[in-house]
Amino acid sequence: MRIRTKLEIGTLIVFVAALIIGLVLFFTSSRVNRATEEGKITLDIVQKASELGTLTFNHFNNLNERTELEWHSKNTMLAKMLASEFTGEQSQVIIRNLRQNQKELEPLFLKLNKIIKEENTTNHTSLSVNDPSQILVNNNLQLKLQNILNEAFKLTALSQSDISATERTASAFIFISIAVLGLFVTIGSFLVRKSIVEPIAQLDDGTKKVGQGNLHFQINISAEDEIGELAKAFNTMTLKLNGFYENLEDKVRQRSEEILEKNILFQSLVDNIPIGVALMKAPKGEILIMNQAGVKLLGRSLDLEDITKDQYTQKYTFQKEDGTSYPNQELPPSITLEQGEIVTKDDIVVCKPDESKISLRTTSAPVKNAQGRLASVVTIFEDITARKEIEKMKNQFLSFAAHQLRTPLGSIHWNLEMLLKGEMGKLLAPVEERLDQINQCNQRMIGFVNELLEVSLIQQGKWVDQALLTDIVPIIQDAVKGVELDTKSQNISITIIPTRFTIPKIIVDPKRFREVILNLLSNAIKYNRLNGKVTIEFKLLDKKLQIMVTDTGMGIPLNDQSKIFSEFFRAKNAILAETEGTGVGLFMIKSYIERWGGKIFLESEEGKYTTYYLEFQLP
Amino acid sequence: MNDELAQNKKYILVIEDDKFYGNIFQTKFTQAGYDVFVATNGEQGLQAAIQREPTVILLDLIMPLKDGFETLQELKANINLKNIPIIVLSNLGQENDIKKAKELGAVDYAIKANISLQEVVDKVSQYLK
Repeated sequence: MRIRTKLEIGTLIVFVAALIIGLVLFFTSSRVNRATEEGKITLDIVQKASELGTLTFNHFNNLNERTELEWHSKNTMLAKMLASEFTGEQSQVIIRNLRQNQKELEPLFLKLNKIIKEENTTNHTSLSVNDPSQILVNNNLQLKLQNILNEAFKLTALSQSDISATERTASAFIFISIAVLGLFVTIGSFLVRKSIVEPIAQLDDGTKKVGQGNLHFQINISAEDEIGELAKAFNTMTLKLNGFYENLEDKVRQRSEEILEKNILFQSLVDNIPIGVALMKAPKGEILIMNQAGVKLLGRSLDLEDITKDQYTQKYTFQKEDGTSYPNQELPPSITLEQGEIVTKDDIVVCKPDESKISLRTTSAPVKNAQGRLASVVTIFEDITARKEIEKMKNQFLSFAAHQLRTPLGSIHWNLEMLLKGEMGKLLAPVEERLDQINQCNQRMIGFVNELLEVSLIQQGKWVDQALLTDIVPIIQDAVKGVELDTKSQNISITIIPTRFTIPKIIVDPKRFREVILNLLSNAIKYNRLNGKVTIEFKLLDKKLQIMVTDTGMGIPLNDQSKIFSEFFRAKNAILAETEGTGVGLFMIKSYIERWGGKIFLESEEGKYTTYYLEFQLP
Repeated sequence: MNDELAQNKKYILVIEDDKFYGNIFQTKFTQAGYDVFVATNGEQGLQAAIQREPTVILLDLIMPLKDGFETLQELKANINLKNIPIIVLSNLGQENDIKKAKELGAVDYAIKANISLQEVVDKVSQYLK
């Protein structure tokens, strides 16, 4: 049965019960009322009977007309009272007796009245006890009155007991009604509890259990009402959920296994690659994990506890190649932790606990979390000791060779100079021409050797730089003038774009800065097209001065752009266009600029243009 | 050597181990009318300077027995010779070499391969006036 129907039936039952109880109470109260009413009448009857007695006595003493009239009126009232309907059988018997007596009262009174009036006309006395007929009538009258009074008392008593009985019955009825109502309410609430509250509690309990993860739980409600339907739906849902869950668990298990498998693969990959890999936690740089190669390289046992405890800078000793200690803030992981950029350095020497030293090439890259914040830094490092050793030998050889080459080249130069000046006698024109050719070749050779030497010095870091706050404008203007001659053959124009701001001074070595500009201009002219343009622009960035040198030349192929600043590298199209050139110019420029704390990079499109961007921090 | 002539003529001492450079200096400065002596190492150069005080000394740096820096130091330590202008001519061209030579008292420094002979003559001439 539906809850709604149940509630409707329940309400109906309570209503009917209340109605019955109401009716019973109503009838009970009307019985009480009637009994009370009857009681009142009996009391009146008693009063009237006694009044009649009194009036009779008064009248016969005084033979007063007024008392006679009053007596008749009271007697009539008594007759009316006796006409009232009394319910009880005993009462009706008494009433009959009373009526009988009352009927006989009237003639007795009249008879006595007549006798007394007759006597009065003769004796002028009032009541006389001597007349035997009078005495008889009087006695009868007295007797009847007495009877009426007695019967009235009896009726009163009866009425009183009737009232009490009725009241008792009424109390009993009220008590029973309340008890019945209470019973109904109890049964009703019991039914509500059984059919609504308990199932709801069961449902509640079930949801809690399922909520706690017991997906096997089923609610045991068989009722055919809404709660029953809800319970069925709930059970179906739980079953389905359980199905999903078990399916999900299977999937999770499967995935976990896959992940574990991949993890093992990944771990073996990380551990077996021959370069060190470490993950450091931002912002301080504690080592989170390091692969075996890394541990071996840095000379520490694979004791994670030991590795991860401190920041990496407290764990290892890093030096520069000249043996001085490496400033912590300049190490790649520190820079990445600070700036979030990828940094590579290959001039770091790590001192192992056994005091041996190895050179490292170290690259650090940021690892960002979902919010884009730096979470950690991944650092890879490889042993480049052997490479460094070879590099060192190469550089030593380079400077030795350069010095040794310069010596004969210099003396050839001077000998040729003397010859060409005619100091050894006048030369024949063809001889002079040949000697001049030899001299030019020799000069080229000297230039090349000088460049070699410069490169090796730069690579060994054995160069002294005199960087100071410099006004670069005159240097640039001077450099532009210096290359004027070279622009002629291809009719190339060089423009310095005027600025709205005063170009600030920057910290550079003036002599080398001139070389930088000369070199860039020389490239911009050499690899330009006929009637090409070269522009020099300045821009103020945030705390930086940017210088842009742009040409309208052949550009640099995309593949070569990353290598263009390497020593001895020349772009493919440049080699084709111009066989001369050693490919050290841009390497030197980059080295100089970086020494001054600046930056150089380029933007180029093959066949269209190349722009070199030079950036210098403002002091 | 004729002492009178020696006193009158300007005398250039070249301390240079490379025989080709020595030959060039010898030829060039003789032609220009100066007395020239080419010593092939530092020790020989010192002895020569003590023997006859030169007007100017041209000094190479890389030499056997006694290198240019040592020679320079000893020349400057000699009370009789310390005021003679010394021009260092070398193929070593690093800034610290140049700095060191100047600190030791060289008046000039030039890289042979990067300078013309005429420029050498001009440099020397300044101290021959």
